[in-house]
Amino acid sequence: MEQMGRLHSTLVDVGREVTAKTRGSGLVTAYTPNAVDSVFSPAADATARANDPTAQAATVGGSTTLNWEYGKRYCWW
Amino acid sequence: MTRRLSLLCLLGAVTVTSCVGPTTSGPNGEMGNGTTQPVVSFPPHVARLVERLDIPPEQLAWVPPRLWDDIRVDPSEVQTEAESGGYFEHRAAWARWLASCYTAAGYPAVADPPGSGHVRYRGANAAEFATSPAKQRCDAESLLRFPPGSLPSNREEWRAVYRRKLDTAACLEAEGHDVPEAPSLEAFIDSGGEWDPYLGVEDVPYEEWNRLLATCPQP
Repeated sequence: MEQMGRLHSTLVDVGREVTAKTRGSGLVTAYTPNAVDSVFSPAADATARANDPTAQAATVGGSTTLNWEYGKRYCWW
Repeated sequence: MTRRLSLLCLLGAVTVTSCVGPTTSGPNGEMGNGTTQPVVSFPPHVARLVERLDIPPEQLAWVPPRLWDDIRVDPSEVQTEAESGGYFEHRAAWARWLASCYTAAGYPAVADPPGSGHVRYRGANAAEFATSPAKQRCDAESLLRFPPGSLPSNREEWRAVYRRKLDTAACLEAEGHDVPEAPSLEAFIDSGGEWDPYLGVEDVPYEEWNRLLATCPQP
């Protein structure tokens, strides 16, 4: 079960797009070499997507209300 | 030949170790595994605000202590959700302020889509910006200026969160997207708020996702 407030991160590749996502309440950020997306959600889910078709890596991180997590890094080829 | 293979293995190992696996940073910038509650301490001028505004300390656990010296927020500059005029208005006000802070620090950013709570920056130095003290300072200060409050603590507060999600679900359905079936209010509360109508659209193309954020605010 994904608990409210936990930071959850995944990567998706939709077509030729590359997106880094985090979910969790609070302030979360996703970034790639060319794009940063921060989102604030006081009491619910927040999903940040950094869209960067040319990226070969993405990092997600941020602060949430119930846990903390910063700087997960993913690469794909 | 052997030396060449060794070099390839070494390069592969360096590549893999630099890209795979989580790197987490815990209380006040220390390394941690992200699974335990941090014990957070603040300098007095921040501790007073955190207590007065009822900000969950965990929200600020990632802030390196040295940054607090550069952050001064007078209580008169704090804008609460009630003063913003509501949940979504508060988030929009936060995003506008944060975009202006990033921009003032030399990283022109925008609150986009307007009102969605997203702040975006594009540039060849995006990764540098994302980990810069300038961004961390703006992020930390934003949470003091626009306190997010605590998670719902009673049934009425949970009901308000639930209603916002129901509204968003109805909006997404009206836009032609499938939405996970809504749990009952009781089940929603028991799960700690686990139900996100946006789960059904999270893999749509970026442009469509942005359009939906502007049309059906993610609660």
